[in-house]
Amino acid sequence: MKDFILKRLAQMLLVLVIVSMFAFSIIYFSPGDPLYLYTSPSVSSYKMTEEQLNDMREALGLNGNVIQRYANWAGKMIQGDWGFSVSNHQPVKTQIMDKLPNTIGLMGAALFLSILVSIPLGLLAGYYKNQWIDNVISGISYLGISLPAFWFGIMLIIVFSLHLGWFPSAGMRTIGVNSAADVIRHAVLPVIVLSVNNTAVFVRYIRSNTIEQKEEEYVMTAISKGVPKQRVLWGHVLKNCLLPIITMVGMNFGTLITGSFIVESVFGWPGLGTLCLDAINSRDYTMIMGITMLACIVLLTGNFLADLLYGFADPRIKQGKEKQNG
Amino acid sequence: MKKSLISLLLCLGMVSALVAGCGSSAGGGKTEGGTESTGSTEGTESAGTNGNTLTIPVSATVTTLNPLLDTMAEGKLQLSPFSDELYYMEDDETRYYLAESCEVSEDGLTYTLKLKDNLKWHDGEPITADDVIFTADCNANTDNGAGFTNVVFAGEEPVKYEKVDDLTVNFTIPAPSASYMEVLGKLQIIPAHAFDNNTDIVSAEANLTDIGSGPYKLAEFNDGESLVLEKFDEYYGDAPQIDQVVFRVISDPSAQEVAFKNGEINYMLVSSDASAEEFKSVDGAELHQFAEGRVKYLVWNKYCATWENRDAVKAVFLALNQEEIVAGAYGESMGVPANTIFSTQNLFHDDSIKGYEQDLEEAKKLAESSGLAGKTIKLHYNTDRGFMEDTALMIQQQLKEIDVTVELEGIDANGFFDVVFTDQDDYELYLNEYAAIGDPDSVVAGMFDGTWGNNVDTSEEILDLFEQGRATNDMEERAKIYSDLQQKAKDEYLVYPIAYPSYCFVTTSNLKGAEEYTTTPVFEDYTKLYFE
Repeated sequence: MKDFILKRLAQMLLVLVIVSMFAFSIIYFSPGDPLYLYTSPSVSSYKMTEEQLNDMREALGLNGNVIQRYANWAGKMIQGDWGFSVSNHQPVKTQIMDKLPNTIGLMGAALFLSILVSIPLGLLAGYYKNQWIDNVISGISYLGISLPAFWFGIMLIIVFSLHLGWFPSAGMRTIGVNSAADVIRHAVLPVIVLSVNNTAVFVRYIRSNTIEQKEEEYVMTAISKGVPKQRVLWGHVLKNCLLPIITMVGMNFGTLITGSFIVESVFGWPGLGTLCLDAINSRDYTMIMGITMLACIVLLTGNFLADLLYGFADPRIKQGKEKQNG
Repeated sequence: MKKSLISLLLCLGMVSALVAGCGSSAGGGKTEGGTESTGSTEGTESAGTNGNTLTIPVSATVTTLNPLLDTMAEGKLQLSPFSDELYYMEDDETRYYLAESCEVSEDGLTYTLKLKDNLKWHDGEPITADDVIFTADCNANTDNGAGFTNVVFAGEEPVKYEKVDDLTVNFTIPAPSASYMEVLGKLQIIPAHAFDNNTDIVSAEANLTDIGSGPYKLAEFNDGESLVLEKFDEYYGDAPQIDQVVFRVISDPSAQEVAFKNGEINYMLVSSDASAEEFKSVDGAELHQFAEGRVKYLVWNKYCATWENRDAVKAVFLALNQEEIVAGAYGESMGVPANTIFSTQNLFHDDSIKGYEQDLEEAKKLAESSGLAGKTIKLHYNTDRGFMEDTALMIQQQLKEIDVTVELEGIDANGFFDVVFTDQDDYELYLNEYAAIGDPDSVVAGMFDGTWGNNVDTSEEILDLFEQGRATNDMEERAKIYSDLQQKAKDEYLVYPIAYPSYCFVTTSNLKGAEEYTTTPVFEDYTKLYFE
């Protein structure tokens, strides 16, 4: 097990380095210049001289070729220095850490909701394969997979905020009100939007797994012994269907992160998504890299934990991995 | 059993994430540089039309409260009630804010700026000439990238400035410049004491504290969520009539529209003709429109070999139907056809000059003779600017008439200028826009004299006219010079001015005073606003 963990950690480190190189190159070679923030005629009618621009580049760490700049950034990052935002000169790490809880909260709640809803729906759809209940659930899940988050978000706002007045249309808090209940009230619509796609995917997985489990001998035996259907479903099939959920949760962290970017934008949720979109628009490379690295670490950690949990949940897999690792 | 335990743990993990995230978020906003909020705005309940609070949506909160460091449109919008200008010039009227007066010497080189007496910063300290000098020093330190550097540099030459007494400062420019009076007036000053007289201001903690001079002071700043301002009781001007001004982040335009209809906000920018038409019939909403003071225009890239024969340029200009483009892209509410390179908000705009008129037969002939017909050309447009894509599509359609295929390539604002403000020769056309308010010797001149758009083929004669207009203070003489310049620009097929866009916004109908001044971005003077 120890070897397995060490091997996975080494792999994660390698992936992080590759992702950082790739992301840095994309920012470097994409058209646009962070100095636009200071040199645009919209900012000032004064056009800086080349010398003044060079001084500013030097101060912002924008001089040098891609390798030199990457090495400079990576060297500082390894020492825990995330750098300063090119656009607002505030420390990147502080800004990210300020926004991280908001995004984590949104993602965690969405994931929780997805699991909560998808387990019973997936089980029912699988158990009653090709019957009306399966058709309804499958139809809804296909719809969930296809719904564009920004459109669905606006629709929910129109219905539940504009017409019914149940929830606020945007933001994370009522100004001047500092309570968890108020935040949760603001979070309801974005959480639903963020969870819809994952819920639909999870339902499909659980359904197909349930169908497979239903054909297993232990289910046949239980049914032939006269065990009630509900007990077979919830007591036996469910346990074996939970395994793929662990993998899916890990695998879907990426979808959640990118999904939160869109959802945060629609609902004015002050998380990493809005921070990242602003950074991309202003070519704020230190901020983009900081958020990219964090998202990558969250994603890799999610996958890693899923693997570990999978091993614990199913000893056969754990043993298999141990055998593979010698 | 183990599996159940794992699933239980997983669920608990998710709940913890929710509580952890929300819990920390609910802990309160940051105010004045990071201290916890005391909830002083309790009871506003998302503001909007409730209470005496004006709520304005923004796509992002400012990252600084220092007006020198955030001069983009949305930054200006948020800092306008917080920080006052010295004075504002509009046509023949000058409205004085922090300044009592500004007088120019006979030789046109020295500007004597006098502040009003008894002005106070939001922290209660007096506003003095030392603050003006400090602000000028901050702008002169170009590492700051401050937005008013043109106050302390005339071209590459530095402007001299010196304190005369506690309320007076002299600015001496190296050569007469008719637009300097206007440039100086827009300066927003910052308190020297808050920055400990250190001109290295970019990372200063003071940037997020109460460093304003305007009618509203900082109440609460929640980065990425909202900026809450409350009226400043010691303001030197008329007392603000609205208690609070809240800038709330709602970045999605559709969500803004819903929030407006829901009564959560009092104002929103209208960005399409369809929305403008819709709001005309919405109960409780009032639509406001005035000229934005910008020029949307089409440029041919002088570095591109396609235009070696100038008849090719003429062919394009004569092939375009401006009325049709403006009607199609801007509709009835969002813009009007442009006739010159100056906007109607510029001093010396000459409305007697006619814009380009379509002449398809002539255009076809010129396209054939110049070899343009049958070619495929590339047009760049800025995807972050309104109406650009629709305009590009209509140009593409109209140039088909002269057998020219147009490839469209949209680029976001940052990347766009990296392409079009260079000497790249691999594209033929681009669509752009520039601010054109007040004196044309400011941004407009810069768009044609090589300061910004160095791929515009401006003739020596036009450059000379810009110089002449800058060097004289005689208004009649300037009017004649700039009229000639506008006509010359048209005759030389310099650029194709397409439209003067409208600044269009909607407010709740109980908000009054929104059209007191038509400065953009709104509102020049928040003390004029009130709820009926």
